[in-house]
Amino acid sequence: MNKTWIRWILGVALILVILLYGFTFVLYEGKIAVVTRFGAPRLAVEEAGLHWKLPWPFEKVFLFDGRRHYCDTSYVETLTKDKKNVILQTYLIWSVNDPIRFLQSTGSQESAELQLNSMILNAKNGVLGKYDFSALVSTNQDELKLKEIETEILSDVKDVALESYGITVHQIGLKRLGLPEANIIYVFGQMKAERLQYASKFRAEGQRDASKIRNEADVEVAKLKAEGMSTAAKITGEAEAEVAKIYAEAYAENPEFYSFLRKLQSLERILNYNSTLIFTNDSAPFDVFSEPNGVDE
Amino acid sequence: MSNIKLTNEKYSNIFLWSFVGSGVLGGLIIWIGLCYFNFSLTLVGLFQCFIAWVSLFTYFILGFRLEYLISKTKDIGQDIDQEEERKKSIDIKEKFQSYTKRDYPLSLLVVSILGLFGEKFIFDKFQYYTLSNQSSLNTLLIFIGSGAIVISFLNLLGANWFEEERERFKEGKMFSQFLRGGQRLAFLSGLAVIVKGVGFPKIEYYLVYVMLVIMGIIFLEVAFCCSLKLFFGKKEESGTINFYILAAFLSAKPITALFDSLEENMGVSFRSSWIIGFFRQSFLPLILIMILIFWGMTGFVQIQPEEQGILYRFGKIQSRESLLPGIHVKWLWPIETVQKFPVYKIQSFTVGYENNDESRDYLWTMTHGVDEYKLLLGDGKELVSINMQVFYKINDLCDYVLQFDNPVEELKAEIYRILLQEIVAINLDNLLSRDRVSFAQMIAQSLQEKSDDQRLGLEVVKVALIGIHPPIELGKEYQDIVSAKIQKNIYSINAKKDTEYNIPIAERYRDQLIKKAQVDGIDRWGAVIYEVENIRSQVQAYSSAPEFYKEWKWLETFEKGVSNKKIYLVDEKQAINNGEIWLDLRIRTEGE
Repeated sequence: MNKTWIRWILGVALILVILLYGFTFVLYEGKIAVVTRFGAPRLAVEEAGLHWKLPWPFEKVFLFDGRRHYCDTSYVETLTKDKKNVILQTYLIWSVNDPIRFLQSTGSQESAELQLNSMILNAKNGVLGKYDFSALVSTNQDELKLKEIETEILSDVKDVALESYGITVHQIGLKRLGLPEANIIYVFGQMKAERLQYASKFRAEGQRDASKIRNEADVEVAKLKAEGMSTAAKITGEAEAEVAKIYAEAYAENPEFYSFLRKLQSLERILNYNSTLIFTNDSAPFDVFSEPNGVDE
Repeated sequence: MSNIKLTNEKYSNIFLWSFVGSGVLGGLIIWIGLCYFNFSLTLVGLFQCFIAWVSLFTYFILGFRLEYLISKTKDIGQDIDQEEERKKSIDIKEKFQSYTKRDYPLSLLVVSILGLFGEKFIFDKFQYYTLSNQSSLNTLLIFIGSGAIVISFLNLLGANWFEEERERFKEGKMFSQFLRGGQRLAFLSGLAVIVKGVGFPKIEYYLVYVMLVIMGIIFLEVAFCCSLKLFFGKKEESGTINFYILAAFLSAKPITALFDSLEENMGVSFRSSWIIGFFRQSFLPLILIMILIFWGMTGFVQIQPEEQGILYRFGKIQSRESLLPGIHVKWLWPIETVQKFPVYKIQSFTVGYENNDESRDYLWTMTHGVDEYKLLLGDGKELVSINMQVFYKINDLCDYVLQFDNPVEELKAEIYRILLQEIVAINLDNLLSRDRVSFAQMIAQSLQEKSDDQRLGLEVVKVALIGIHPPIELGKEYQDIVSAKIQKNIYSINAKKDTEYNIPIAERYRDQLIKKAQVDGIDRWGAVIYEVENIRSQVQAYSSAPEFYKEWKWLETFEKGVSNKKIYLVDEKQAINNGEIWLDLRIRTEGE
């Protein structure tokens, strides 16, 4: 008996749960629901809470995220007005404004983002064609037009998105700006060349400085050597003058004898081992041999 | 003999075709599952392949057994005269026993482990996709689901047939269990695919988890029982392996099936145990009580120290005041639910590049393994890589939850936008020489303003500038510049070194010259003094006897001068050839 009651209670509870599940749906904060009856949109519910509906297959609830969504758009390679190739990536912030139109036109967040991406690609191409490259990158602040470009892309997309898809596009921002791969290679090439130029300059400056230091040192060395030689010559000259003076004083005491001694000295210095001397037999001291009272004779 | 042979051949053929059929079916189901990104169907395909392999191994058992039985019959029918026949018979028996004892459980063990890996692979591949792929009503899915239910029915027929044949065919029971498992899984999968097709993808998601658990248990039990048989198996002439949990799982009455299985395989009745009896009686109420307890527990919510929670009643936020850390009481699920967020936790994301390495060395001239974010600079011909780490936390939970579906991604996009706007108006040299602390502060301030404007509910705690540097592709050239600067210094240092060597040398040379001149002068003076004094002494001697001293001095010098020299004396009176004298003045060498 007890078991039967338990089974009945369980059965009824299960049926109630199934009925409750079939006849209600819970809408969480930030979500939006569209209730369709046999496929025809009946109402859009934006207020969070417990809501009634007919069970499937009579009514069906489509839930969407009503909050703002962020999504990156695809990279687009386009030409600016001055025919320069750039790659631009943007992002957009959007939300569902008209849930029924949203359901009918796209049906899901992924699909909506694909549609918006296509629209923005088109708008980007159109808008960038009106601006020079310097509107995107320039060291001159006056030439930059980033905010104008963003606003213009947004205004191109905003109305169409709202009317066609029930989507409000809140913001479009430029996220990334680049050059095509082929150009990047040359940009790197140029940056490399510039850096090599700097490196060469530093090396040349180093060699120049070293050369300057060495040259100055050479001059200093030469100066020192010259100074040494000059001082030495002066000292030698002074010594010579002193010598000459001493000689002169000695000479003045007996010039004749001094001359005789000097000549003897010179002879002594001049004659060396290989000298050959020729004398006449009557010259001193050989004249001794010629005299009649010589020892040998 | 003939009957045995026929029976074995019959079952052999059935298992061979079962292998072919299950294999093809399994492959087909996996292919369909992959084509339509259907998790549950792929799992069924995997299990069907498992059944195909079990069929194949069982087919081999039957082949061996047939050979063994034929040889055994021969032994009975003939005398064992022929030694070769006897040996052959023994060989076949050993071969058969070896297969049933070792090779067969080993094969099943390997296949079950492969099954587990396959399950993990499928889980990894599909786990993120299943929930995100919440497609709406799809006729094709309903069709596929119906197909899975048909497969389930075929498996059921097979299972029943093998169950009936279990008396005549030992492996029938085990194979029947596997087929029944396949039937349950295929049915669950069909159900899951159909409910997904009619618009309840979440139910499919949970059913898939049930399937994963069932399959995991089956594979684990097969692996465990095969390991047991490998180590402790007797020399049985059957490939049957006893499964307990599998049997219980697959039965309509799991408890009864488990007791039956234990009783049948172990010979011990567990039904008589008082405790088990009690649990049997109380099983349903116990389950109900447990469900009620679990449901009752949904009336409490515990918020962790780093978290805050938002309380929803039927999806509606009750108050902007969030639930603080601690335990809270709420209405039972599904009336009230709580969503928890790590509000106090300071989180971070990297801008520029992601570095997963824990040690995180930031060496920009070395390859990081990931692409860096490169920004085009203001002159349009230079690029720069910027890496930052942004630390943030949730400061307004309601805004964080209600305004954006992904506020952090929006914050990340804003920082890229701010960087772009800053960078496009500056060149590389100016950027690299910029005050980085104030640059990071400026980025943080701008980011906070954007966060407040957009009501992201996030507070930017800090922006850490990890690096601003030229792209890694230019690392070598930038290093070359640094090398060149160092080289420049080296040139100067070398030149100074030479200078500092040469100048003292020159100074020494100068001093030497001067000193030498001084020494020479003194020497000369000394020599002159000596000479002059000598002369004076001679003059003095001369003054006392002039003629004598002069001659004496002359002769002294003459002696010194002419000694050891060739001397020719010419007689002035001798006239040869008109008064001319011929002298041989040639230098004589030694020996002449």
